[in-house]
Amino acid sequence: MRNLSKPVLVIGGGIAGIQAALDLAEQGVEVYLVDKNPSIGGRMAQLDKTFPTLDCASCILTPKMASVLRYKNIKLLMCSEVQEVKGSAGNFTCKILKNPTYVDWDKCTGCGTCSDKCPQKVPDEFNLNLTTRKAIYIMFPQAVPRKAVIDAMHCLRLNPPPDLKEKAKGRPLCGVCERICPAKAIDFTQIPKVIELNVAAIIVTTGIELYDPRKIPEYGYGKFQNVYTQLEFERLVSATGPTNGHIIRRSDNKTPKKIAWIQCVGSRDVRFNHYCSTFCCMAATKQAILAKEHIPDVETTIFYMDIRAFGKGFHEFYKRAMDEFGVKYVRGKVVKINEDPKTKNLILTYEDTSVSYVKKDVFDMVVLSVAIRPNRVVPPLPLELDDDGFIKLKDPFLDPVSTTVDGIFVAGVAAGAKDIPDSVSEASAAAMRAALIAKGIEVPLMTATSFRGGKP
Amino acid sequence: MKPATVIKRETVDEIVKLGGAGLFKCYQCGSCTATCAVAEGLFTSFRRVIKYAQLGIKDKVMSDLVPWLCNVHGDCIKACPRDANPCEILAALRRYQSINYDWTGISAWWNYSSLKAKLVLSFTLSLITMLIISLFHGPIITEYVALDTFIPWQSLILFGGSIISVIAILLLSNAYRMYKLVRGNEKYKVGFLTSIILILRFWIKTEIEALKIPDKRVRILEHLSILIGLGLFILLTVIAILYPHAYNNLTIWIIRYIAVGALLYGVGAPLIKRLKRSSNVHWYYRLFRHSTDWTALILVFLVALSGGLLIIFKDLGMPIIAYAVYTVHLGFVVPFLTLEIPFGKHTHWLYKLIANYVATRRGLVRGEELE
Amino acid sequence: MSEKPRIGVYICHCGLNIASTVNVKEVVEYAKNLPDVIVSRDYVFMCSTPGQDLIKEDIEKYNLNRIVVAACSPSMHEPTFRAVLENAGLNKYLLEMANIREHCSWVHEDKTIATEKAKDLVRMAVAKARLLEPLKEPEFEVQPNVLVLGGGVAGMRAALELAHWGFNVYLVEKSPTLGGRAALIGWIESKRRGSDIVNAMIKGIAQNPRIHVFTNSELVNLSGFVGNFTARINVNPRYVNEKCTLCGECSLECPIDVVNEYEFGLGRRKAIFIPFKGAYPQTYVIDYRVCVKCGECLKACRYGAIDLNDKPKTLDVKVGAVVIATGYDPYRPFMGEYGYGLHEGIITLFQLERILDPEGPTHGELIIGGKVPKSIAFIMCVGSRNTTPNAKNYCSRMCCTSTIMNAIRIKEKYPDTDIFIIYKDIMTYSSDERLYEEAGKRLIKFIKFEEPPTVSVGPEGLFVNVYEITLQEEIRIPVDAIVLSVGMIPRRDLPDLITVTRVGCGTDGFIREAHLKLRPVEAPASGIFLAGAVTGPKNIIESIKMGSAAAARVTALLSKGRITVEPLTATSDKDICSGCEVCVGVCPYGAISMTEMDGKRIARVEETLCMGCGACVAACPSGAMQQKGFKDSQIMAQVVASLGGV
Repeated sequence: MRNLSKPVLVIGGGIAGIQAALDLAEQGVEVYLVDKNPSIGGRMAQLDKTFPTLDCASCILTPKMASVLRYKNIKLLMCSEVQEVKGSAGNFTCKILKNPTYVDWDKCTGCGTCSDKCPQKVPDEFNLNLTTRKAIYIMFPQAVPRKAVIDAMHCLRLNPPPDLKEKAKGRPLCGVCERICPAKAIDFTQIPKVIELNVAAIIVTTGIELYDPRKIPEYGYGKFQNVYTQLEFERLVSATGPTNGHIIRRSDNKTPKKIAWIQCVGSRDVRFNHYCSTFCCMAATKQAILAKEHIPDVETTIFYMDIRAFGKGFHEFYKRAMDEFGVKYVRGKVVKINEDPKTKNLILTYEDTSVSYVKKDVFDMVVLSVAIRPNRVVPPLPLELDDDGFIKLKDPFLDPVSTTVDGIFVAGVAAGAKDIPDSVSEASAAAMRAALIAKGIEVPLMTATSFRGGKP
Repeated sequence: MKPATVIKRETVDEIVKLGGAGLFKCYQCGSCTATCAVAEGLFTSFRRVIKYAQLGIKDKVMSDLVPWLCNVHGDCIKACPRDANPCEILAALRRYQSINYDWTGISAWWNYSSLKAKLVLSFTLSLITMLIISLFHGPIITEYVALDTFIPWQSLILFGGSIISVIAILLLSNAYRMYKLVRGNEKYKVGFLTSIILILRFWIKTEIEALKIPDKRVRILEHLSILIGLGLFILLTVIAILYPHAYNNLTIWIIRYIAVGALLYGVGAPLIKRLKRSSNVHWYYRLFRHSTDWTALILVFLVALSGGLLIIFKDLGMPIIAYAVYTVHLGFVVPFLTLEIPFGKHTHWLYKLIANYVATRRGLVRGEELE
Repeated sequence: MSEKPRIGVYICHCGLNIASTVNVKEVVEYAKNLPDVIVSRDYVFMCSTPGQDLIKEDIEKYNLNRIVVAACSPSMHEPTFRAVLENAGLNKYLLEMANIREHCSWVHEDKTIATEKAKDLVRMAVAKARLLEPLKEPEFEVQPNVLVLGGGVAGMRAALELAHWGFNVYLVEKSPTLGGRAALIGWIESKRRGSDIVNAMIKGIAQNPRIHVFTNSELVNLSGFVGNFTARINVNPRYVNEKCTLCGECSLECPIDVVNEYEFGLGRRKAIFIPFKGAYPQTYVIDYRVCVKCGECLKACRYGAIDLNDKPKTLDVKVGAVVIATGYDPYRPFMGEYGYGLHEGIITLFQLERILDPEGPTHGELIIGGKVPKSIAFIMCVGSRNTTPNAKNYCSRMCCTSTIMNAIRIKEKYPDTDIFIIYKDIMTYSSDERLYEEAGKRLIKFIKFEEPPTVSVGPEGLFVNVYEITLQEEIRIPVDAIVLSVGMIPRRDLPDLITVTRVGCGTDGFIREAHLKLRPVEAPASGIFLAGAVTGPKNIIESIKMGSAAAARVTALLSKGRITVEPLTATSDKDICSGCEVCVGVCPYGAISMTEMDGKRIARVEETLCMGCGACVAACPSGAMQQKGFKDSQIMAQVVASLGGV
């Protein structure tokens, strides 16, 4: 119907970014999809299963990721970060820093040989540091693009530790990957590049990070080995995770018999984050069900203040967890966790508000449903944030995916805590708006004044 | 079972006025109870009485003894995710309950009136007392300090005794009202002696635990000083009545100064900290600023200060000044005895005693450590 | 199948993903010896450019006409390899993939067994490949028009976005006005009402020449297929034309009055009425269902705006896609449920919205049951979350936030009112939690239950009895008014819509989307999209976003002007088909219909609706129904091959 016109920049390659990019591509718009990681997929790639359907997250995500590769008008800029955005709707100039991967991605076939032979082990961020990866690595098995990247900070060749550098006396250290790469794709001479793009519109889909539970020392996260965050537990339960899907404790590799989830850690709390993180009640329910599936006789208890089972299929899922799987729900906020030094079991102190007195319970493993926070995007983006640090919307009713800057749209958790279907919906909505600008279509402004007439 | 009863909106308004401003911030998560060292040792929760207060269920609020079990450690304040200040809410509940235990209505006036009004009444009583003394005092001996000539022991005992008797009747009648309310309908579960042991063990354990924490340690010491000071003072009074010649005994002399010193430290230190408005003063002094908190300190401070000056001037041998200070001292003692002790914050020792006793006998106190 | 098959087999190492478990070289050798296999190769990454080039060159050099790729799951790279075939001049459906990764190397540890299995899988794929036939992807031009059903905020938003893009939009609304339910919501945030938003959207629609609004209209038939639907719209008579000046004289004379659904039952209206102040079109309308044609209004009207001879009209429009945004119905408590209908002081949340609306029946004054209540109890989860035997089994999502917002509104204007919110869980998710905080500051009281409360209506007044779970006590609250926070239920007329559009609904009664997580605005049937509360309870902002999202998906579908469909659809052999119609009932997509051909009544599959599920093939008793690309002969060949045959 219309010819391709100006491109659109999508910042963040999680499920929202992917959906926006696919919609734009299908609408005939050119898309630059930027992500700071070597692969798209975002948080959803780290999940094992999704609620309430218990779909395998990767199984429903990877086809979408594969679609991204197929569209010729989606250009991926991986390992890249937006440095500067100037201009206005229809005409933004963006400076994007493309970090070097030290691997020629045109040649790399993603075979993984380099990674096998690399001598340097590094904590694996994708697995939340529960296991290690190599300095040259592919982010995860289903990565898209499936290409290797060198972590320069930990590479012996690119960043040799001073003592080894001395000994080498000027000769380059290591070079194993370069030697064994069958495609001869390793290139240690790569340097960071700054790419300038001129785009019509920008969609921000930068997603979430977890609030640092170390800021709430009563829970002992970081001190007690068997206290996990919900994302770490998700990796434990994933077949592609650090334990191949076996739920085992950090302290002694034993299978836990009693697991507890603590809700609202850092959420709904005026001392930390006022807002509700929206999906952790359902995530905990899901994880409890998965735990039951992995360990049939495990006892699972969820400590909550309100069970937020508000979405489609949520209440049914919650009932199923209780009735079919025997997940226990206790209304009472856990205030502190103590560790038994011998067994490394955890003792939770809480008031069971349904009987009105304080109880202590021992668990083998505790999962904290930690608050989510949006990834930092301001600066470089010239956007306004709301009181909770999320990107502020111009008008949630009349312009629901627009930020305070015309032409910059936001979708997903960057604008407020929400779950996957809402993020996908917003991404499509943002794509629609961005596509209209990209095609040069003028959209009349909609304003609604507050009620003035009659008796207020 | 008859449904718990009726919501009274006045209850809510009154509690909020008495300092329960955070009352409705509470969303009943139970964090406060779980953090509380005292609540951990109980089979009940103070979160519940906060809920009763929110809903305005007066008879449940009145029959709840848990607010009196609070030892004001303040851990709940830090644990509350809504910044509802449960400690202050419980203090407001204690004020509310005191008002309602008291049948005279004076407690109500005392708790609702402003600091100025309370001080005006107190000083008016002081002035009246001082006037009476200046008109009816005994002969003034200027060679040495003869306090017992200035005001004969018998008059002192007569007046003091009658005042104390009246106060005692008021106190005990209010205490009995409280007892009836909190007693509950069931038979006691725990025997008398067992409960005494339980309470002592419980109290000592929680306070020793609290002593380990620096910011609580100071307050516990201050509170202990007041207890020691007042206790010693009562001891001294009894000795003075039974053995008037023992006044100049060295031990008694030392005890006298210790009593005064302890009292002055115990009320003076918090008073000074409360007057400071800077943020690096401990939260406790910034939070508990109800007018009754002030008078509880101010009146005792004036009594202790005047008492201290009195014994100093007596020991220095300055009769005229001593007699004047004696007059002022007695002037301050009167409002303290007649207003603060039966109707102000100082009643808490009695109500706390009853609450702990009843709680233990009703089986609300855990025997063993919560594992 | 005339020509002899010349098969090329390509085994992928997938780096070490396959090769570390399966002995690829062995499989390559094995494949070489299979009948009809001309060339057999392996490569470390078949989907990479060099791998693809290998296949392309072989096709040209060896004149291959069937390709087998043994690699990862087809859902990863089948389109990739199909594109290779196309580039090399072969029909892209002459490709068969064997999944030796997800089905083999990734799930087995024993190398010998895995290699044997890989050989089996390759042999099976070769067996099928021999019987593959070239298939043509049908391509259709699409209509650049879109039908949007439902003139609420979701439908209006979708219409606006689509019209901006350049589509013609037919916006069909059953009631006499645009605006939907949101127009009736009193306050959606502190300074704005639902009608403020609705008016702004209506203005946009009225000014957009591409949006054709049909109010008082219904969709009665939808035929055709994605890209080329024909929609039959019935336009019911309005009986009032644009000469109407909104003077209201007619209404005063009208003898018929009915319950006013625009006040959610709080009052009555006449048969000739205007739904609300900002209604669009801005004219009165006669409710054709209750009008007795007495003619009083005609006599009263001085402007000649009334025409009682107005007739229903039917029109057919051709559209490329349909967006269903028909919304919800509020749950209506039955007589006696929580005392509803037994006392004037017991109302629903929606009725409260009308009361608080400055343009509502009480001009924004909080008058319930004839007086200003000093105490109000809100009972939550009425009709939701299985609280009572007749309640729905889902959470209605928006009621907690709505209730708290209204409670705060009441406290702002009437600070001395006692408000009790009797709840099961407070669902103020995301930033709405701040509203819950605000409620605390406003001295709003919360009572938590597990067992639903009971209401007693008697001479002493209204009481709510509830067992408070955190107090472990029964509480009895005297109140002046009770607001039942009812949820959302599917529209009463949804079954009709489902019949006409052939969408499906879930166990909750709302329309089911294609995929709950990743395709929330699409129906499983191609070309039909969903927005707003029609898929389940949503609040206004979420419905609006879904309207935009649906528009995006429609644009993605129709923007190229043509669509192609995968030809792996079912076909019926007219010579074998006996016309038994078993397949028609089995098809979940409504793709099969009966047709006359050569005097016989046979089944016909509409290619564009068929999703290739194979249900009809399995159900067909005569074997007439076959699926292209998955014919019985092809599958039997694979079965035989799996057991060791070739």
